[in-house]
Amino acid sequence: MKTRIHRRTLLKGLLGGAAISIGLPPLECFINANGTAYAGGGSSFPKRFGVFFWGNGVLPARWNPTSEGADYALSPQLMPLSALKSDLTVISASRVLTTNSSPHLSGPTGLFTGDAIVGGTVTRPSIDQLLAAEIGGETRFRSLEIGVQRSENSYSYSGPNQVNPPETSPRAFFNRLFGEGFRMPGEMTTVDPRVRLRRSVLDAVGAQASDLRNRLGAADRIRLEQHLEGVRGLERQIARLEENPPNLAACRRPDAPPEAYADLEGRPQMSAISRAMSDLMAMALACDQSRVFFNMYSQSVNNTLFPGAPAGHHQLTHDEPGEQPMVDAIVRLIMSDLAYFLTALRNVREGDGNLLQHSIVLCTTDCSYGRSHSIDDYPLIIAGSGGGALATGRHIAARGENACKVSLSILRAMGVRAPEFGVGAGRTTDGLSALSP
Amino acid sequence: MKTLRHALLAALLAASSGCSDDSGVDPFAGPVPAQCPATSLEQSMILTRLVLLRQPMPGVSEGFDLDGRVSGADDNLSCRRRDLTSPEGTPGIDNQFSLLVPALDTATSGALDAAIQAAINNGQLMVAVSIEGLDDRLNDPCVSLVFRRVQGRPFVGSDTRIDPGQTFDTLRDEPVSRVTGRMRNGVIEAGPFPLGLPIAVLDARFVIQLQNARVRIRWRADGTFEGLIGGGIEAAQMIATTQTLTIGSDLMGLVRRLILSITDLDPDADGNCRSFSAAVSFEGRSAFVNP
Amino acid sequence: MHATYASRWSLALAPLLAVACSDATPPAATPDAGVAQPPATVTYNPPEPVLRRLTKGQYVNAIHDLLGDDLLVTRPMEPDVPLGGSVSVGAASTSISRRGVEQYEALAYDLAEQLLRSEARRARAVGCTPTGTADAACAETFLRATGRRLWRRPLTDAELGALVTLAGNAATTLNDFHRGLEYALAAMLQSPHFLFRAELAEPGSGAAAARFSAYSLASRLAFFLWNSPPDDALLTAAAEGRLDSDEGLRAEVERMLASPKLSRGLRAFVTEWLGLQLLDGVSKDPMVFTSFSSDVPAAAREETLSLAEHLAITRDADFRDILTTRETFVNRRLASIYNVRAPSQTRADGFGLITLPADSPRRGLLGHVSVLALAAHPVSTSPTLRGKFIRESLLCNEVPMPPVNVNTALPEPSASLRTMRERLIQHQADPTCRSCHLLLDPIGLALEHFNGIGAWRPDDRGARIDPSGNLDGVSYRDALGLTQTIHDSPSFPRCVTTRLYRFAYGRHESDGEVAEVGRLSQDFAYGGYRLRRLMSSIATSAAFRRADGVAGRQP
Repeated sequence: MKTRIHRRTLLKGLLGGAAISIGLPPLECFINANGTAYAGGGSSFPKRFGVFFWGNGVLPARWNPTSEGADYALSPQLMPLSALKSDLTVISASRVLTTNSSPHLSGPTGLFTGDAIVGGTVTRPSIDQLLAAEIGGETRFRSLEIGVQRSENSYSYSGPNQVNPPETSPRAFFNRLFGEGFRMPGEMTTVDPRVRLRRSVLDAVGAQASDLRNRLGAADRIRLEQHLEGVRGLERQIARLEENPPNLAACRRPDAPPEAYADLEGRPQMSAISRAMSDLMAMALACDQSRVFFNMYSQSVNNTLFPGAPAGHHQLTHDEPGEQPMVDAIVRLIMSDLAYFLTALRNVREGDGNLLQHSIVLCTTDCSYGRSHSIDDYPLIIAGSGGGALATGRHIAARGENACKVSLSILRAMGVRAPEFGVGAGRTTDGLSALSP
Repeated sequence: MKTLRHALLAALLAASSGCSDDSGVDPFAGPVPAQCPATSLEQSMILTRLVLLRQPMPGVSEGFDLDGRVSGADDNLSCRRRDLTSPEGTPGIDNQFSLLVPALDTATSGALDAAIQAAINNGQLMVAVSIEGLDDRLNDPCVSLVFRRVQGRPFVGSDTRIDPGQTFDTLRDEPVSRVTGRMRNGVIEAGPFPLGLPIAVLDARFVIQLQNARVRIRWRADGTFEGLIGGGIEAAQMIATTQTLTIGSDLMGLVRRLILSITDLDPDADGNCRSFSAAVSFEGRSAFVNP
Repeated sequence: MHATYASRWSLALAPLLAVACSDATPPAATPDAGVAQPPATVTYNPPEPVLRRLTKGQYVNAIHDLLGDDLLVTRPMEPDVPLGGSVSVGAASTSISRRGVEQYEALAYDLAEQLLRSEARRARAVGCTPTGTADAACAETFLRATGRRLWRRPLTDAELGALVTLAGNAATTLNDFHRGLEYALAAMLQSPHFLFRAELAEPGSGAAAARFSAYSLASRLAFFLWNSPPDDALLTAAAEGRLDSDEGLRAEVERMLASPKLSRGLRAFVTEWLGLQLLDGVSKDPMVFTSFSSDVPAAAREETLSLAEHLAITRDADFRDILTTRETFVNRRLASIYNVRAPSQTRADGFGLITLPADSPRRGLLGHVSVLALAAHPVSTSPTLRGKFIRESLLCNEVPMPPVNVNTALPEPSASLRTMRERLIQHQADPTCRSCHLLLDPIGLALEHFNGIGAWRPDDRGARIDPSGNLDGVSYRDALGLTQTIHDSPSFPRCVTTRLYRFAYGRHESDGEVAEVGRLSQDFAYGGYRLRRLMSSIATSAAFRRADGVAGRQP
């Protein structure tokens, strides 16, 4: 309880007192007395939230389904997701209303944070970090950030300028999750004394900083606090190693992926890396190592050379003439990698359902039409229902609606009592009603 | 208008007939001097590909007319070996070795070209050709060609050929062959001259001594080169070289018979040809050669 | 913020740029006063000092300089984030992510083990023989000396006491004195006192309301000039109050400028000035650029850094020569791309100094693979990106974002649009794009003879290349002419000054600092554009010592 209040205080600090308030989630009812099973939200399993993001947009004419409702027909670019159709809600025609001043950056920033880019800076935490502050405290990792394209950039922000860089090496991600320190339930009954020593070191690190704090200006104090919060988070993470891990039927220690994925003919193995990452993330969630993730498949403005493409992705979105068949092929390739990821989540059985059903995965990109950087008609897919909290299996044409309504609906579906989301043009007090089950 | 046309016509005639210009001396006429005046311009190439020429159709091959004869099956001076015709239809091509290449292909299970390419790419078989005494990029009445074996680990590009522009060191104690020639429209022709072509493929290392070798090199506008080398190889030398390769006595006997079956040059007093004709094509890219 | 993007389309701040674009007229260069006179003092109103995080390079240098250059720092750590193209500014604005905290922890234990489990290193580092598993006195000796270096100031008694206790507890638990020290060392390496550079102020005198404490100033100097923490001598100078006087400060700065470590500071600056860290992520289509092997990006960066070091330190020459010199440093790989003979005399890393032929169309920075490959696409050149590089990195013009909701497509090559120039001119027919592209494309087109990896090409797929143009009214015939025009423009040295200022201060200059940047720029010109002197001028300036923005904070 004490730490949670602290987290909220911090969050408020990071927001610089901006008008956002987040109600306390009913964390207590998530966990029963044993801490091994979960209640609430219509599911006996925890809710997870994640983002799947790719850069450079879509081709709206080939992305948007032409029919609406539950019987809609998938569009050509959505066809790779056909086996998952009943688990998805496709939302078209909504708009990011915050200022589109910065091509590629304005859209996702508006959607994830509810604010425009101000002075070149993302000003507020992104939706995944808002949720991590609420539901991330119960697991070993508060949130997990991964990527496929080699880059240390992301739209996952803990606060102004505070990017959470993605892990893009499957092996490094495996080591972090399942390497030293990971235990299957029942493994290793005596805890290594060095674990306690590591905690005492982190405790000392936190204590060292106390008198530094009041010598700093306000902005720097927040940055220092951010670091110290990370130190305390690591301390809690290590403390989890001294407890018996959650006993979850679907949890397995996966095989280690290859050390490296060398480029083939100068092109990164996007799909192979994405699939390895997908399998690891599915198991990380199945083992309840974290409940929040951000999957930065590819970056905004990325010029990745996809297989068979005659130029980098970003250059093609601007320079390929006509109907842009190469751009189309790249979007469909990304959707097939997304399908693999969502299927990996769906393949984890949890009680009568599966992990995907207990999750909400927001799948989106940085603009609708890459060639013009439009953020009208924003491409959005929600996969999973958060244990029945959101509708699935339909196409919603949310004509002219504020895309931040989707963000607010997600926050509420995740159990956060949020009266509003976003500021300025992005601000909304209503979710998207069509998303209600 | 009429005058201009006449003038052009005259110029063309003069060029095509090799007429002397105003100074009275046509630098392109007569034999090529044995030495070309030194200039500051020099261009070297590294051979990036070397192909033993085959016969795309029976009786057809690229190569040179080494003996200045168009020989039929009745020409004793060519030991009754019938000459070949170039793909462009030029008769009198001497490249009897092209008859043996299919046998080499069979013996190496078709890996001959790949083995040569591997030897080039891993730095084992690196031959550099320098064009010295250059005055002009297209037409030069006198240039020297210098053939050297060079060393150094070459960078090989994603097109599986040695990258252009690299610097290599001359291998010490290896034969250096020189010849002067002419360049017209970017095509250098030189020879005849004795050329020692160092070969190193797999574990075989030897020098092929080409007698009366002829060379043609085309310097393309993009800076790359393609060319042809032809010449006569003494059968006895080739057999002796082959014996050093320890290929077993059975095979040795076959090779010996095969080599003796294609001799077509250099008849001795008894009318037996002592050498056979051969030709290889090559590609080259710009390089720098340290002496 | 968004680092890749920010560096590519720097998030423009100054209103200047909007004006420049809408009017399609180039921003006027600030005329420098005559160089015959040294500049007068100027008013200086600095904002608040900033808390800077160690960059990756600074972390590695700190370990090597303070604990031994035989330690391997190979594990991953928090990435550097360039803000507005500057890693230094990014380090003053970002914190450490949770993954970064984990990474720094793993790194700390790794380094502590490397130092304290090897007999030789332990003997070198600890300096006393423990009397048993617990020997508080010996632990204190080690922690006091190591702590002063790592935290760049003496530890307080309380800090030292806590670390000695920590080491003692760990030693007892693991029954090993040196294992105990590992935990205390790991604590120091994970501490914000090590990972962040807190610059603390004390009351000043004269015009300065506050100045940096001596230890803070020592760190400012060392990270600026060496990209590394203070050495023992500099900390001692701080302790003895020698940095408080102009003479004492000048003596220390002279010593630092003479140190071989100066090249690290210079290299860190040039790397962020030109965005050379982005070479790590550069990718080229191997089917198009067959000789762009994986070792090219690192070699290309080394060429540019070596040349900068050669001009600024070895020769202490006019730094503007970096644009026009025929000298450069290549290894065999780069020599082949430049189609020049590889150097016969090389350093251990295979690089050697060469002089390009007098008739070479390639000269200076704008002929380097580093710049030409970075400002290009994976399959082709990009006159727009190259123009943008020249505007932003060499002239410090601010280029605004491309507008949204416009058709950005370039027309495809065709019989009538054969060259990039023809395609771009067609593209400029759109008035929305025209105003800005006119500032970028024409100057980028001067470099069209250099392909997407910087190799020379005589033509563009058979079409003739026209490299002529004009830069803000000065006409040139080709790339060498453009280079000379930039060299002769007062904007170039002014831009170098601005970028060096940001590197030194960790922030974009505020309105109150513009006059100081102008003064330094004038001094740069007065001193013959020697970068070493400019570094010295910044390091010894009154402004570099002043911490006025902290008024009201506890000392």
